[in-house]
Amino acid sequence: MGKKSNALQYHLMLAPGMVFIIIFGIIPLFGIAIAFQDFIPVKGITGSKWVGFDNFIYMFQLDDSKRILFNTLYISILKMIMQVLVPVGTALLLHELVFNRSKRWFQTIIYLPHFLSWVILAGILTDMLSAQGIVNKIVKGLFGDTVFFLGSNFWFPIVVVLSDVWKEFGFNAIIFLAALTAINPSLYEAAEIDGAGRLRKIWSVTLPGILPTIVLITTLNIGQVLNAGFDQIYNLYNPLVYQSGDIIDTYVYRIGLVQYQFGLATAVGSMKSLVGFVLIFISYRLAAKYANYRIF
Amino acid sequence: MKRRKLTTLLLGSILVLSACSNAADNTANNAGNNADAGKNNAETAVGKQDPYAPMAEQVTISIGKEAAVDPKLPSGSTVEDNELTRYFSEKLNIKYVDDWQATSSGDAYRQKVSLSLTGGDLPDVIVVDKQQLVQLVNADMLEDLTGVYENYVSPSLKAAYDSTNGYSLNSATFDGKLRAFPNVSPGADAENLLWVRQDWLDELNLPAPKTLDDIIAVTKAFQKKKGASGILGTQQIVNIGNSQYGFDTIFSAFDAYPELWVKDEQGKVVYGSIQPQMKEALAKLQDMVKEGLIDKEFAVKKPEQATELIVSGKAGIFFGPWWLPYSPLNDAVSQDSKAEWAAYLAPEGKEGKMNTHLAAASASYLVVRKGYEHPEAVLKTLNMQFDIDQLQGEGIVEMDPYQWMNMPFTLLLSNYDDKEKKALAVQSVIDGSAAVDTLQGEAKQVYESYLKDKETPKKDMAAWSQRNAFLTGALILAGDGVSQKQGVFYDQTDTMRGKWANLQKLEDETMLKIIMGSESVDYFDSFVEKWKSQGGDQITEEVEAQINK
Repeated sequence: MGKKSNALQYHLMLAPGMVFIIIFGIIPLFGIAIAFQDFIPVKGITGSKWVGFDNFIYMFQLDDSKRILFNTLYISILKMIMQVLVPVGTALLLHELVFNRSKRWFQTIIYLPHFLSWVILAGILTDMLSAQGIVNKIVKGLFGDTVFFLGSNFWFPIVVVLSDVWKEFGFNAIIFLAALTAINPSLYEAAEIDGAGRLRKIWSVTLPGILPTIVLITTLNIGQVLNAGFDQIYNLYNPLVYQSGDIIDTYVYRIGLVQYQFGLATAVGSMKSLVGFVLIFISYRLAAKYANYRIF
Repeated sequence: MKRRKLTTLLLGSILVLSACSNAADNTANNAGNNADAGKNNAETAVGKQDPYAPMAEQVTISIGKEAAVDPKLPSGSTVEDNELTRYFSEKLNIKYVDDWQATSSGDAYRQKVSLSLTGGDLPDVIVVDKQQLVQLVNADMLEDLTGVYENYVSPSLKAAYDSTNGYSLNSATFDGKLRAFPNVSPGADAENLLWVRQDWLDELNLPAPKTLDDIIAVTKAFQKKKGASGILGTQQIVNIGNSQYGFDTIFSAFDAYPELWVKDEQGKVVYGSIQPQMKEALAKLQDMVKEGLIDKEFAVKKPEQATELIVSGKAGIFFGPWWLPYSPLNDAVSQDSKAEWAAYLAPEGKEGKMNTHLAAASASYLVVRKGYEHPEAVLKTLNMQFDIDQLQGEGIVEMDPYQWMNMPFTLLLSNYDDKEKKALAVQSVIDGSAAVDTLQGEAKQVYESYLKDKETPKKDMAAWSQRNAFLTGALILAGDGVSQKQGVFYDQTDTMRGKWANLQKLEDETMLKIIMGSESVDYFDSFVEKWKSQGGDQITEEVEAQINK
């Protein structure tokens, strides 16, 4: 009896959260119906004409679909790899710094860009990468010719990935720095007694120590793989680099919000959600298997 | 046990949800019924009425209001309650209530309108764009304004509507019924001029540019002798509406009209961007980029970046509309008082005139909610708005600076040839062929600015801007050096709604690639093929059908 009433209390405590999820998480899902409609805002979902899978069929007929999917995956996978490699490297370097004060300095400086919006950073980047910009001055000094970074389909994804790394690596390194502090110092002492040098200690003690964190972060990122970064690309791209820079989000923005094609935009968007769901599912299984990470 | 609970929960939530949506349906139906019940009484009023007479009893109009970003109001006045709105209220016995306000910055107003439309919750009066107008008409949510217009329109407003040769009213007429009061924007806004640093031109002893070759020669000289940048350009190569720094007139010099639906020589409707003349224009632009006359970075430039070059004195030649002296040329002159700017009708086309495209005269529409009892009150307000705007608020606005958006409705109404007409009127006073007291409102202001700036040149920048916008920019458009190309269709067809985004992307990419030289000019042919097969042909047929309707 007592046990039962306890359960009721717990359920009551859950209720506000559930209400929130239902209102803001579940009810909006019904909006996906738009993907199967020739949606006209004035008429609403109930009044618009149903067109079945027309929007999806058209989506797969577009030449762009494959290219956009490829761009999205290409850019975000590159980002994913770099966003693990660079922060881990940074964390290791910071960890090896002897002076604690300079460590904090570095840390603060490298995570500052994280707090700037892409609108601001894109302005700075376009100036830096223009023909008269500082980057091209260096490039010209070294190779004798300038590079049209934001107008070239070869360079654009690279600029996107590198600038994303530049913005976020300091902030992402924090997690790895935290993981580093959790390594038992006696392991280092033992390694020292065995005659290990600095590099050997990194290889045999530090890296294995943070490996679970690396695996966890990577696998969790798989769920994000279709988010290649709307803010960033929208602020940097132009028709010249649609070919290499147009991602699902920017495409949905252009056709949905700029051209009023809500049906098609929702179809593309829900396709993204579906693939994202599958990827999250996979990454959750992987995380459970290799990093022992479980929610339930 | 557990599972059953979950099922109950799910079923419960579905029930709640469906109940919600039913409720929404019911309200919508009720609203519809009410609308039918409140059949308008304007249809019963017969014959011409006094367009300015006050309402017999005070009526209220609720408005979804687009407010100016900087309404320039003294403390105590608001967008809803200021000298202008009070004047309207008093004269017409109408109370104006703003249901909500959204500024015209960014998308704020458009989003707010979309929201009201989706919610089915219309204020009595709201300004919408063409697509929203079509949606509202199809959903039968708008009052029929035909009778109201016939009986209550003022002669001056009617003249303004007539100045677009019927385009404006036609675009708001569906099945013979007028469903909205369209705006009328000045035709001059869409015509581009060539703006040149006149002091450089004089210093280097160059003749006034006329042809495209002249423009190229001037640009080369500016680059070599003045260290200036080439012809300015931005990501947007062409824009039928406002094309600051666009290459529109270079295309039209070759008789090519990208992005415009036109009639070809056989009288058939065709899309300008896929016509053979485009090839010549693109080849020329490709050459100009190759020679460095146009900085190839134009493709990544935003207008602000081009403006920066002008203000810092690094640009001396570019295309833009008549109003550039208001901004950014005023800033450029403040920076460097030696700068003199002149506008030219260049480049010339084959007939020796500057070809230019025209935009749609109307793009926003004031609609009245179906069932609103006093649509004539709305038109009376518009009648007065037009007159007051022509006078720039003279005699009404004393404490507040004049700002047309502070009037009850944010709908721009002017004569289609407004700017040219005013410039001509002022010029004839300057020439002595007309008396000063023939000038009114804005024209009078322009004349005063002219006098002020002549007295102390470039001291009062507001006067300088107004003088030059009208007497340098708009004035030359009034002459016969311009050959205007009116588009035959500015709307959207059904297929366009589905396929236009894709075609637009194809077009943007192709044009840029050819101009930048990463594809040869012959690539244009395969673009035309693709454009036609990916829905372009079907859209062309639909456009033809709509025009001949």
